[in-house]
Amino acid sequence: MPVDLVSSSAMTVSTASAEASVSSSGNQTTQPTAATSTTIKKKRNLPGMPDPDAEVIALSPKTLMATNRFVCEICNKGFQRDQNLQLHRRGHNLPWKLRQRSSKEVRKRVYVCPEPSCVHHDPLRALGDLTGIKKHFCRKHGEKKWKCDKCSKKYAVQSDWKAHLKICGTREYKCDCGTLFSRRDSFITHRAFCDALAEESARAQTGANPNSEDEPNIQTVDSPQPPPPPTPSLPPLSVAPATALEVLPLQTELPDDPTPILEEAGTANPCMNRNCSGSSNSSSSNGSTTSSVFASLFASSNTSTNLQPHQTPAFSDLIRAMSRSDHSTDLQQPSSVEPVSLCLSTATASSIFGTAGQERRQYASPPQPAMSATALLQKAAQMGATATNASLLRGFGLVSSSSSPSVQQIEPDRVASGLGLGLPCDEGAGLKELMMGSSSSVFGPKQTTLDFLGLGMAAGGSPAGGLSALITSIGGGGGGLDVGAAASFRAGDFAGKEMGRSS
Amino acid sequence: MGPTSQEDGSSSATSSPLQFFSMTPFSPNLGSPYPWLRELKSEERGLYLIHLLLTCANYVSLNNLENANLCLEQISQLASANGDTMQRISAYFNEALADRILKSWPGIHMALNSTKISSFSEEVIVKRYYFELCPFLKAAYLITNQAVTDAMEGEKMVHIIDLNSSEPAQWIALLHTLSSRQEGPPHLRITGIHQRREVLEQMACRLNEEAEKLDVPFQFNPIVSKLEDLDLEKIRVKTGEALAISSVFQLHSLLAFDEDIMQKKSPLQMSQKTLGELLEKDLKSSTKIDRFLSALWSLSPKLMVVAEQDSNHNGSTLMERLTEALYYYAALFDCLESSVPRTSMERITVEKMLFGEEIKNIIACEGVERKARHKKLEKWVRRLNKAGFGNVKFSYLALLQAKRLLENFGCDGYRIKEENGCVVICWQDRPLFQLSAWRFRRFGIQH
Repeated sequence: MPVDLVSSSAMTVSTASAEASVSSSGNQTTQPTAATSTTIKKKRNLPGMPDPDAEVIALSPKTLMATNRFVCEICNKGFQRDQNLQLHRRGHNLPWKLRQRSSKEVRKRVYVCPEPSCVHHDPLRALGDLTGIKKHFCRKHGEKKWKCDKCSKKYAVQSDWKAHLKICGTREYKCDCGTLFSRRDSFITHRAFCDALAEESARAQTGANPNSEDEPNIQTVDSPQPPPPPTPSLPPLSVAPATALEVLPLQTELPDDPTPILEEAGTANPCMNRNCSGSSNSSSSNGSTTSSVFASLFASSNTSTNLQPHQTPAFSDLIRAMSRSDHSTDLQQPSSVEPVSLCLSTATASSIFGTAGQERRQYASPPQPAMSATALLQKAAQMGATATNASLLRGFGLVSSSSSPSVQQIEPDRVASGLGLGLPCDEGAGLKELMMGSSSSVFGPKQTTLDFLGLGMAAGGSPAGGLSALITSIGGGGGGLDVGAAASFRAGDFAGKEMGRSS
Repeated sequence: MGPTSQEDGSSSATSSPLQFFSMTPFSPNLGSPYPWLRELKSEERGLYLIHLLLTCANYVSLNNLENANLCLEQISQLASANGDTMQRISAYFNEALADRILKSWPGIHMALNSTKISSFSEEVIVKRYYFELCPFLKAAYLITNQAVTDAMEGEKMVHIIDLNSSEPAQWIALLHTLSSRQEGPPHLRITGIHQRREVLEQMACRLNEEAEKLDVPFQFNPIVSKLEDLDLEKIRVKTGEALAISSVFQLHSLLAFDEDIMQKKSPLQMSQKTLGELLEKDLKSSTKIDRFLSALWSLSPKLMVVAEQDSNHNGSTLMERLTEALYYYAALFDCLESSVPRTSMERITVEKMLFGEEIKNIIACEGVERKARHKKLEKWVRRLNKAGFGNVKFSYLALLQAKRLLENFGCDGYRIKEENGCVVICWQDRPLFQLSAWRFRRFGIQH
């Protein structure tokens, strides 16, 4: 009976391997030969596998580490290779039913790590190679038995240890501060950080001289800057049409900017000018600043002063490069990928997301006290919602039933003074006449306008709140406009219209 | 220009006030001889512009072209691509509305657009400017990278699929982060998708160079393809790789291909194999976006980060779209206004070539042409949930970094907030961009 078979085989398996870690998810098929605890039917979507029904095999740690992995279930003799086990089994004269191996002999197998907390414990993240999973298990979850003499580094896998012995001490990087590295990338990271620390401490003492520290550090790192032949320090200043450098004049215009950002950057402000030029230099030194450094800098301090020398306003470079290309009219050429690449090559991790906006600080409040568009929209929405408040729009002479006298007076006066004509009366008369004459308030459903146009109220979708009211009123307002237009047409005033346009 | 016109103007005193206004030269920018026009405060002008825009859109949607024409004229007098925020927005909306009207004469429209020279290098440059002038792309990249770093902790092999691979800065930052990982960098493989081979070549060059410098094992696989024609077979995902997908402003364009249109084309845009039996029964009824998401789901990604605009520009009526777009682009233009001077050519380029084109697409185009189908966050959340993805929260570090980035960007209005595990970047109170992170959810597609 299948149940017995399953349980017996399970028990056999469990005796064979003391700790059977069972990762079950429904199906269990018997595997008379391999010492597996369970086989999980793989879900459909194992990425990249040609056979989506790859067999996932979960081995217990002991099984994984065991040298004699293949065990004969009849006599419990262990073998290192499957083929050897098969040969041995032939000797037992098994009945044909048990002799058959699993029908899918050539099914691809993938292995999961027995350690539950491991990423590769998930069948979806299984590894395809048995040797691989063994090594993985050793490395990650095993004891490190092998040790290097020179550097006392420990390894769990012998082959790793051997590989290390070959290269230990062969490649070394040394920072100015004396620290040794075997990895190039960690060396570069450290070196950038090291400079940063040195600068920080120096600046903390001196107060506000980031650029003087910037300069000496340039030499230490290769400048990844693109081929503009002039030295990096000068052209940015001279080629300066870039918006980045437009900061400079603006700075003087906004002395009393109250925003906290500027306060923070208070010490930075006087250096800003110099920083712009220094920044292009510091970009080279930041060529390899990692964003982890960046992040830690973020975490460590709120003030922007720390960030300045490290954030490459590579944008300034980019903008300069762009403007350089603008000036040389590179834009239209097919090789215009060139200026883009120029820009791109100067961008680095931290600089990319760096606070290039520091240069923008000065724009914190635009010189013109213009109302923002968002505010205008909200105001319009409010006005639309409360139609009676539309004195302003009525003032434009659209239509009003009860026109506010002040507005009406203003218009003709303005017109008169503006036109400098001796015909104020006519204008005023015209406006007033229209305002009176035209049917009624635009902002409200009035029968006359509706009838005239034959329009319904709502002129289309129901957009956000107040604006919809405005729109619906416009639906009626359209009538007002139309009336006017019609009036003009009736007046046969094409000539006047043309003249108006041409002026 | 002088008195002559006035006299004529005065003779038509009985005409509508709009007529009246149009007769007087209306360009305060050009130093009109009518100083009182300059006194038309920008606020009043702005309000008037809004009113005109809405009126015009109303006329256009009612197909009342004569009045629409009048409005357009009015707006043209007041709007300007070099003026204040409202003037600039109005200029682009004006253009979009006119474009829409013109499309009802397809011959004229095509003829007028036939000699346009569009070089892709221009697009690249515009994108560059946008990247620099606004912090949104940077914030999106930062958050994406942090999410990837978090998800790939402990992974030895990482594979990233970039649905629109044109900005090396994003992956360079990631390379730096990964190379300084405690356990050493993973083997990183990036599959970049883009329409243009040159862009991908550029990416490959830059990224390989950077990885070389950082000593990170790296491989860049380019795929030259439009997103809608993407054949997922080309993306090979190897065993043991941890897969991440990054989509920055890409998914919404797939919404343009909905069922009505799809039925006209061949029903199988994507190879059958990638969809799997589970989806066969849905093939006929599912839309392109659903199929695309299913195909992505079938790759069982460990992480998928989706960045999109957070506004509903996919309304069925013009008025709906116009009002939403007005609010949205007002906020965007305000952003630029408060951080870039008005005279900046880069700003004008971004406004015209990027925002202006988006506006034109939203307002003037319909059907497959209208790719800028932005939707609100909850819509995307619903869709991704339905496609079998489970939400992953962004880590505190990601949010913190993004917040710092925005704070340091130079002006005060940016806000970032978390909403149901997703991130929304706002300007003042107006949500602009949304970011969400997803993982392959095993017991998958819900219907």
